[in-house]
Amino acid sequence: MQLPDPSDIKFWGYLEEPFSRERIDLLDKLSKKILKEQKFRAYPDLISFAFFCRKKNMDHIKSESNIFPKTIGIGTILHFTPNNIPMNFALSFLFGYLSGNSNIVKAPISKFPQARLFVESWIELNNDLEIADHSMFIDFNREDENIKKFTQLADGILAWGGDKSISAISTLPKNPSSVFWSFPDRFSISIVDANKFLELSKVELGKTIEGFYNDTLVVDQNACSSPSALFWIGDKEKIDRAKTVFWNSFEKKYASNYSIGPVEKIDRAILITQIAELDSNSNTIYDWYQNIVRVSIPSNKISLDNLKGKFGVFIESEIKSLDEIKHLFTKKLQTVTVFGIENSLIQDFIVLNRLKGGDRIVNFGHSLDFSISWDGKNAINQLTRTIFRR
Amino acid sequence: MSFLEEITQLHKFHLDHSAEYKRIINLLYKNNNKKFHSSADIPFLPVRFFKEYELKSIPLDSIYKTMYSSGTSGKRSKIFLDKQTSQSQTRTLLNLGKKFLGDKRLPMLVFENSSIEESRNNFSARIAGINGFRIFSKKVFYILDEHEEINQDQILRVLDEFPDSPIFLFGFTSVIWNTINNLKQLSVFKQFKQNMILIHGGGWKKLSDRNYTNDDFKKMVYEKISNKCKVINYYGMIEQTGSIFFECPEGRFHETEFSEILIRDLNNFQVIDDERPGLIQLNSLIPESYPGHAILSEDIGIRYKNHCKCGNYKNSFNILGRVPRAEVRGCSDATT
Repeated sequence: MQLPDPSDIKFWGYLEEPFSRERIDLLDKLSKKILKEQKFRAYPDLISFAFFCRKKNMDHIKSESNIFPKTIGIGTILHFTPNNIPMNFALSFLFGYLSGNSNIVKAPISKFPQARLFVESWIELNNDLEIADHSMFIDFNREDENIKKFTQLADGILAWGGDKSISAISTLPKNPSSVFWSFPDRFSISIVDANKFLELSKVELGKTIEGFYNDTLVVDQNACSSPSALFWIGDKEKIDRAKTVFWNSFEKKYASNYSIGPVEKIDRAILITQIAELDSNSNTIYDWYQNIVRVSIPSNKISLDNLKGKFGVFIESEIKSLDEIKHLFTKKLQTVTVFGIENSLIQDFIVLNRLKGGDRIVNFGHSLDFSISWDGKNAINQLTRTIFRR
Repeated sequence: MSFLEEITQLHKFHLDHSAEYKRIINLLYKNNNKKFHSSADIPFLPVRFFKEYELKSIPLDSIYKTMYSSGTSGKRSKIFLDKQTSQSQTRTLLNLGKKFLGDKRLPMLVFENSSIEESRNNFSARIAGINGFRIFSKKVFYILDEHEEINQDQILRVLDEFPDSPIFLFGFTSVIWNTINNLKQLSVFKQFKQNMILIHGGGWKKLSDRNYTNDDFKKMVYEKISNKCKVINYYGMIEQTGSIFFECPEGRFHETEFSEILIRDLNNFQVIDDERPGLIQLNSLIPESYPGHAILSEDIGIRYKNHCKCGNYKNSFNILGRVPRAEVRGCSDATT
């Protein structure tokens, strides 16, 4: 869809206080509507977004955000969102909305039904309540002839996507005082304590494996927060046993249903030969008809900047302590998904070692959870201004 | 030696002479150096590997020519030829082509602009085709002008210089289609009383995306050029230059003494029965300087069970299209 002329957008420049009562109420109404009606049930990502928008959760986020008095939004935010994740646009919107801004959001409405349903419900709700809606969802294109007018006028630009897309967006003319917040390519890892893993009951094991499945294959291992490699921590004997239990259970329940197309199988074969280049001792044997492939690489040889586990390929490694993977905590490392390890331990590890990477430590199964902080930055802080007085 | 024995020998040769090939094959196949019972057992390499790796079985100083695939979709294949492989490509093509083009060299009318000559060392698929087929030519005429439109003067020059010789027209399928489909009849060809043969290949993807078939193409040529013009499609890939396939009168391609076709299942890559569509694997005896003897293409085809009515009893097959890439979820690509 083509972008209108910015001068035709009535709400242009509108801003208000973050977490306003009206906005939280409206999100809550939207949440209730989505959680209640049958037609939304088929889309777990839409449901979990609706769940995230409940008043209770919003109040919680507000209280955690430590907002200074006399803080307001910055104006109109233009959102460039990914075309291949159905609900990412909604999260981006929420960043701008909760911080008290007006929003123009690229949304994959024609491609994903859940995106369309979200936008339709939003408009419907605003109309029913006769609320002046300060947001616009539109499936615009980067080549749109009006795009430069928007980037020049916008008070903030949120750019999600691959490094290439972001570089391209950043070359568009901008208002010098605007906020440019980008979400470039990142990778993520998992760390499992083998000892703790072996202590799991059957039910807990099922849940843990399901969590790993949700973090990986559900999104084709392709979200930035999907772990690209799995690290086992513990002694050799325990790790061996834990691996057997883990992968047997994973393969039985999930891998057998995972299939990829012929082109992706070829991509996978190429990926395997590239990963194996990292370590000459790697002896992965691959069969074209396998659903998933595990490749073991010593931790000191792993580099994830360019090679990620994808297409059912899982890179794994054994470590005795976190120090062995310190080199992976670069600026590109986003999420660390942990099992059997205290999240705060990883936080401390990052801070004590003064490492550049690692923005998010979550438990298994939560790598794709929505949150108001992203890539180490809080959306409210990023998209508001506080009026200083002395 | 049988085809199987020869290709087995070739496979072992490449394992011994290309460390990179050996490394890749060892990773992808458990038993890759055993006695093979049929060509289906020969480890195949997906064609895209030639885009990711520089695979060669000759020392650097033996490289005589390097060929590149057209890079429309990003990376390009790099194919290394020594003198011997280059010559056997030529010999093979000559052998296969003279069945259609005869023993005598012909004036060759190419659907390209002459500036393509200047990039001769840069062997993209279009140039490679011309350079391969020019062995059948007495003289080459480029019949497109700089706007990729038909240059009538060039065609008239052919008539002047070769009033009696049969004419050999050649070009990239999609280029020919694009240049003449929108024209009215090319009356200049009316003046040709001699036999004409048009050989074309490559660029099918662009046409099949628009749902044009080989028959549509023929009809178009009969209409615009002449209904007496013989039209022959060929199928081949830059990674196996020389051992190509010419369309028979029944519109099928046939295996030759240099090549073999297998069809593999789209899901498990096992060789499947005839008459079922799958990925086309091309086995060829020609590639000696690089390990391109067993290549899995990304084309979908079908191998026929029955003998072809054309009288050629070698296995016949046809191309159905290209295998599509599935949409992958992920965070990349925000704005396309």
